[in-house]
Amino acid sequence: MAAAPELLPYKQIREDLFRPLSRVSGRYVVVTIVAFLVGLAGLVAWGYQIRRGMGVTGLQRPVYWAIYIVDFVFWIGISHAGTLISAILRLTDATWRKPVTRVAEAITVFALMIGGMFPIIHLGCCGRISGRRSCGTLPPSSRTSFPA
Amino acid sequence: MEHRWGMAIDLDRCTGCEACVVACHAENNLPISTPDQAAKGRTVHWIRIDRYYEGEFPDVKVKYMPVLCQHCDDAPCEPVCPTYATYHNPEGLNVQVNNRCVGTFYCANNCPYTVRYFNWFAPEWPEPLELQHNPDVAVRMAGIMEKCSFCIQRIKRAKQDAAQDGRRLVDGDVQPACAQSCAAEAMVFGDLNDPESKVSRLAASGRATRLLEELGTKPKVFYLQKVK
Repeated sequence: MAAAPELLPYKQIREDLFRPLSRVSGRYVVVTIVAFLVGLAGLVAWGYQIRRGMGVTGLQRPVYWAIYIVDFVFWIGISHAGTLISAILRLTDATWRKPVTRVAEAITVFALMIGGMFPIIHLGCCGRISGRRSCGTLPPSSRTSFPA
Repeated sequence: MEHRWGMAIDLDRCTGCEACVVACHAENNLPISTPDQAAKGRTVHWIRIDRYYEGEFPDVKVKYMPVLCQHCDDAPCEPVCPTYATYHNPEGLNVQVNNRCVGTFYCANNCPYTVRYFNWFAPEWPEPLELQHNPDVAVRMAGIMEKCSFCIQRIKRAKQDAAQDGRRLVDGDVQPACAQSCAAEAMVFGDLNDPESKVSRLAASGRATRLLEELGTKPKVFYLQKVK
């Protein structure tokens, strides 16, 4: 008869499980800061677009729908992948699916939130809604640089 | 309906001088781009000159083709507009109603000739060009689709003038700015319903072809060239 597997002490299991909650590593902080910087760059770009109008995205004849629609489809595709993983594991009745499903469904939820943002950004500078008169103006430097 | 406006453009006559482009800008209050804006592809033209190169380098021949809204009878841009901003008027013109346009880009995405332009930015003119605006044409606000109207303001004016004089509109009464300014007289505008009009005769000649005819859009702009 094989020896019964040695059980880990309860205290150690608890410490292993809750370590990410009690303290963070330096790497985690760096990664978080980088992610926030990327998000901030996106916010700055969006602000610029709201100020200057949708024309700054470079959409022009003959391509009138481009980057935002592609982004939307991309992120919706990512969210589909999460759903698919979760669904397959459930259909195959994998007993070990809990942690994987948790990750996959988190991907689905957050990718959906990001994807849902892009149609709103694609609506442009919201001038039609807010009635802002300054919508779609060029920066002053290009306004005054007509050749003499 | 009484009229069905159309245009014939003789490609063997066109010299590519772009007088039509300038005339269109002046007539229709089109904004003028700075060089750096133009480099970013932000110019708005209702008519443009496409260039085609034939032959290898030193022996090159350039062919010019003025491309404006073809005013298709089966216009691909019309059924896709959710606000009916672009529709077919009774005289066969493909009309853009500025105030209805909300800027969905459906029409421009569907136009095989890519002659629809979106004005992303508020229009601007260098001094003193803002003093020469045509009072018959509205200056468009930013955020709407624009395109060639066959100078509909001139068509209306000619009809009013003819009605005031108590006569019928004759061939040559209506001249869009591009046709009027064409030095080589390559552009001819007129009524396709009138079999005697110059444009009808040119359209019936063997030299007439239409742009992307295989798409079935039935354009009303005829390009005349020697068909090989």
